[in-house]
Amino acid sequence: MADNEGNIIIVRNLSKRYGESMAVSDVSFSVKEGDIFGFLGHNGAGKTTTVNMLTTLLEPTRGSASIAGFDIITQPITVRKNIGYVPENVQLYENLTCFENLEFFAKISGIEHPKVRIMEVLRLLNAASYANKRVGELSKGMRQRIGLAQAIIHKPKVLFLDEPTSGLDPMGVKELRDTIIALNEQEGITIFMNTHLLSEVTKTCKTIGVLNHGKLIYNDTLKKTLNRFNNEDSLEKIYFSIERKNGN
Amino acid sequence: MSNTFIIAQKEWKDIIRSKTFIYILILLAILTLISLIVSILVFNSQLTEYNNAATQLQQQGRDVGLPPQLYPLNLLRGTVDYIEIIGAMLGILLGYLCIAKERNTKALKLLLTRPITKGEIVRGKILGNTLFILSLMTIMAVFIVFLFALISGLFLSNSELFKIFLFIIISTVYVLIFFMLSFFLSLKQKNLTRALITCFIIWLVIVLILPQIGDTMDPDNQVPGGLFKSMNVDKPTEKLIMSRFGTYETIRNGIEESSITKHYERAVFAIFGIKSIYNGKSLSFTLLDTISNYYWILGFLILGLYIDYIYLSKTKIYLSG
Repeated sequence: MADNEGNIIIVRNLSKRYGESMAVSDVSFSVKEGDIFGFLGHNGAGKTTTVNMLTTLLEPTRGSASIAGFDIITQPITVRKNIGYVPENVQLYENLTCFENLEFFAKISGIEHPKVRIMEVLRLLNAASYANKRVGELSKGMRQRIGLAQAIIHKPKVLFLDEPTSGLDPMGVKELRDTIIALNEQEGITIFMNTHLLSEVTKTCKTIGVLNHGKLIYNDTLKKTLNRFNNEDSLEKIYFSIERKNGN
Repeated sequence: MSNTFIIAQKEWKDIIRSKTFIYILILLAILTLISLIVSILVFNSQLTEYNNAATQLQQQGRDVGLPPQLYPLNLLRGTVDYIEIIGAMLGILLGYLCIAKERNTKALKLLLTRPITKGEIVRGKILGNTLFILSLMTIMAVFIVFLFALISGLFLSNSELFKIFLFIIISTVYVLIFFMLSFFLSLKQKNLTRALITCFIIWLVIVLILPQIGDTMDPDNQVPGGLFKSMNVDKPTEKLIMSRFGTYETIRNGIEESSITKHYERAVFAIFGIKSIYNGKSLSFTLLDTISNYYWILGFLILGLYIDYIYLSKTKIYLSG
């Protein structure tokens, strides 16, 4: 459930330390229900570590966060019921068919008779004709789509995507982008998207956050961002301008 | 259905459809066939040798001893030998692959973002792989029974079939112990290659080096047919001589007993009567006489289950890389 201000993701002073280095340092932000949030940053900025903490894969060193009103540290199982996650270049079980993969993920997500929901999701993602194909026989783009299908099979409130367009051809990128927007609009899923591709953010996201060396250096709506930096003509220039202001 | 069973079912389906399964099955079938044919040829040559000797002795008017007796399960010595080595290797590979594949494809990450516990994942994977190993051993046993009938026209008795059933169970547990070792290391080590190398070093020590040291230190193994027998030393005298080497024998036995492979070998050799003192003895006598080997095997199994079920469920595991 979102809080009174409509926030479905609330992050407060979240930090993760690996030995001597801080991968994520005192990060605080919130994401509104129904938003498509683009989490930007160069490689190694701490984006994946943040997502790993929000998806309960990693325990934070400090700070707290809640998803749909549930605490990621004290209520991890309930958090997991409310999220879907697609890691970068996910491949699933290649000896199982698409249907069997989705059936497996549906069952461990608590759906007892998942057949109807599986076909519904496959149709939504234009993948119904691939139901009986083994995942090992699919193209990279189609695998990514089945990866997306497993993440929404249990109707999550929030969907985390880690570099979703990585390794896809331009056609695959466009199709995936349309799918993400459709999921947001038709299924009402809040999307949290890790990416370093600024063009994708412009075309997909409503709000952005910029992470640099583990610190959140910018967080606002895309519309306001483009208005604020009205002297810049592309998000790329804005991005570099933000990073420059922060001493990079 | 509980999450553990859902994961076990998926695990089973995933392995049974993989090419790895086909390769393993073909390899085991070929090795079983070869070992059985070799054993039959060896027995036939012993029989020919006996017949020749018997003819000569009869011509000289001397007494002829009993011919070598065929105990069909004795012919499985080669099969037991390769399960000791290749079965252990198979367990290691299964444990490694079941984690490495999922770490590389990120499926493990997906599992851990679902409303299930780490314990359920660990239990599901162990259960799925146990069923797979059990099926593999059962297929192999059926193949052995079939080969007996096909090659030598031998149909095993009920008691021999029961012994083969015991062999399936003991072999499954033996392979499972190596599976659990490699499963544990593959989840606990950040570097998967290092995990695999560590497993094979342990395999080398447990399966090859320790039993070999034990065998080499055994004075009776130094001469084919046995040192004491070749010197015509009777059993009481042999015991008297060996009693002078008590500490040496304790060390030698200790080295052998630290290897699960040696316990597996002793247990199965006794059941199959490959160790000749158990030929013609009742199964209950054989099992009781080798009970300590079963305790050891059970001990290793409980240790593996404890480490995998309890320790892994509560500690950090590596998800990718």
